[in-house]
Amino acid sequence: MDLSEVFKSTLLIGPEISLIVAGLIIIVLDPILKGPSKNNLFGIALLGLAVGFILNLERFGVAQTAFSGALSLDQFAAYFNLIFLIGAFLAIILSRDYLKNIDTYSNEFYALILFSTSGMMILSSSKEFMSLFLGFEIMSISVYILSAFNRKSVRSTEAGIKYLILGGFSSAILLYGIALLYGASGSVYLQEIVSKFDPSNPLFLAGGALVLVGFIFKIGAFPLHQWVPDVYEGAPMPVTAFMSVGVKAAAFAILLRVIFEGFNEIQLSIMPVLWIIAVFTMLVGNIAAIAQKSIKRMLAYSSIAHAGYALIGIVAAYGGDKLAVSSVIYYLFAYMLMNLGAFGVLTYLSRDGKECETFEDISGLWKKRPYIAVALGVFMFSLAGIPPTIGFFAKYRIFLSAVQADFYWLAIIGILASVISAYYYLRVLVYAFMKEDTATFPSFKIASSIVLVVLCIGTLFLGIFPFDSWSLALEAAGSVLVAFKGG
Amino acid sequence: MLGLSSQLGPKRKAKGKLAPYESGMSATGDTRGKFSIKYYLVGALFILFDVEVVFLFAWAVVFKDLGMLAFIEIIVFLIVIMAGYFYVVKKGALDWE
Repeated sequence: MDLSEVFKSTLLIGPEISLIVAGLIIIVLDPILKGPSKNNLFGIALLGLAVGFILNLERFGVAQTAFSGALSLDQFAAYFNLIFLIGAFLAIILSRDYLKNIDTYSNEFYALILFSTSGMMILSSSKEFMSLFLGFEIMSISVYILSAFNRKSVRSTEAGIKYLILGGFSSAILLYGIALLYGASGSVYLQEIVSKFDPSNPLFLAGGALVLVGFIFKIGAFPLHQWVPDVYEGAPMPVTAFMSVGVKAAAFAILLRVIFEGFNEIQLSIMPVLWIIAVFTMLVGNIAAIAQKSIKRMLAYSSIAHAGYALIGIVAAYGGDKLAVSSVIYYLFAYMLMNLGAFGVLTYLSRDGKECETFEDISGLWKKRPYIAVALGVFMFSLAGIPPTIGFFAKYRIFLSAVQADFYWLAIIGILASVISAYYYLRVLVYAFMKEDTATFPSFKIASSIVLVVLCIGTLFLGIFPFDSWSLALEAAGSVLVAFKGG
Repeated sequence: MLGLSSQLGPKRKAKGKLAPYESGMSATGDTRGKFSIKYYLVGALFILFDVEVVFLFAWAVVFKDLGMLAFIEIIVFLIVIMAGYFYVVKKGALDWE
């Protein structure tokens, strides 16, 4: 690689650099500053994310490659970067009120969210296995630390250690798969691996399967979903909000890219596998969610179920259907809004270091905090897929693409699963609206309320007028399918 | 066959046979031995500077061929490492006592 190429590429990855620089500034300033000025460092984090957001907007419309084709800065990556950046921005504001209540290092928290987001952005644009693994690890390691952030809580520590060990295994499996693919093809670039793909060579099949396992773990889909409830339940609430939208979207981004840019020849052979995974993910997630007594754990199971719905879109996209790919992308965008909102409400209601977790903790919310109760209602309706919310539109597109691709059974199972899901989402609302007000709620928090209002308006507005965000998703799907040459 | 032999075969238990295999040494102490936290401190420091040297050495060998741009890149790399090191020192994580 020519060194001037490195220089040019460095100029292109402005969004990633702005996040890392902001994170480093926070880490250096935190030990220097004394007193109350220390509490303002989260402004630097928000500034870094805002700069990254603006620089990322320039990527729409122009597809560029950086570092000799290792990173593809196209619209697909730009759309996912929007999901990560908005998610991180809102999660940071939500966590500010939350962190006041627990005695811990808050500035490191912001820096870690920035680093993790930069890892997701590298992951979503990588077209080569080395930068893929780099992004994967930057994202994961920061999130391992964040899960254990409430270090005086046993459950948070347990969540961190569990996630670290299982995540370490999944990274090792992914890396072994990459090594096998490299051994079989002599390249780490997706395109070259595909051009040398040979179904009779077992190295290719084993490598591809191991890589798939690594991604399925991070998505939290069926056979490898066991870590999700424990980690999501134990991690601090804003971290759960952040990783349930960020890490999941990043893992889906790279799964889509590998399937539709890299492995188009073996795409046909993994579709039956993904079909089974999607069905079991939906069923396991939804059925297990019914039995939960904790809302946080229930939302963790529901996040497994939502991964299943998004997988329907990937199965339906077989043959490179642009509408189906964009339905997956759009689903993740919608899931970011509504799930961040649902966890945001729970974060808002957490007080004095005690998290709002059980159904009793929100009992009678409507009588004491009517606006928060309405926001909770909007997010729950959206998660259940009831119009006029964005959750309905996103789910409609997913099931429509399944029907158009003649996967009738998949669509039927998906719709049945989301009928099951309505039961436990609405149960939350029964407690919030119809039960006696036995719980006590925290006083008004301005910053978190603004976040909830923004998410609420986004969920409703985009549910009624999805056109612009949907056409952006279509363009993003078009850019990831550029290299695809049909099944 | 394996199941049958494990069920029916004669078993003569002895202390030496039941002890865990430790390459011929007799086992001493508890398995859950405590490590000093300082062990991890040394480990963390080693990783920090080891990784740094790995890159610095490779760069220094071909310094003349790479020129100015590589110099700037290594400076950026050092700044990132030093920011982390600065943070650790300032937080007092390296205090030995």
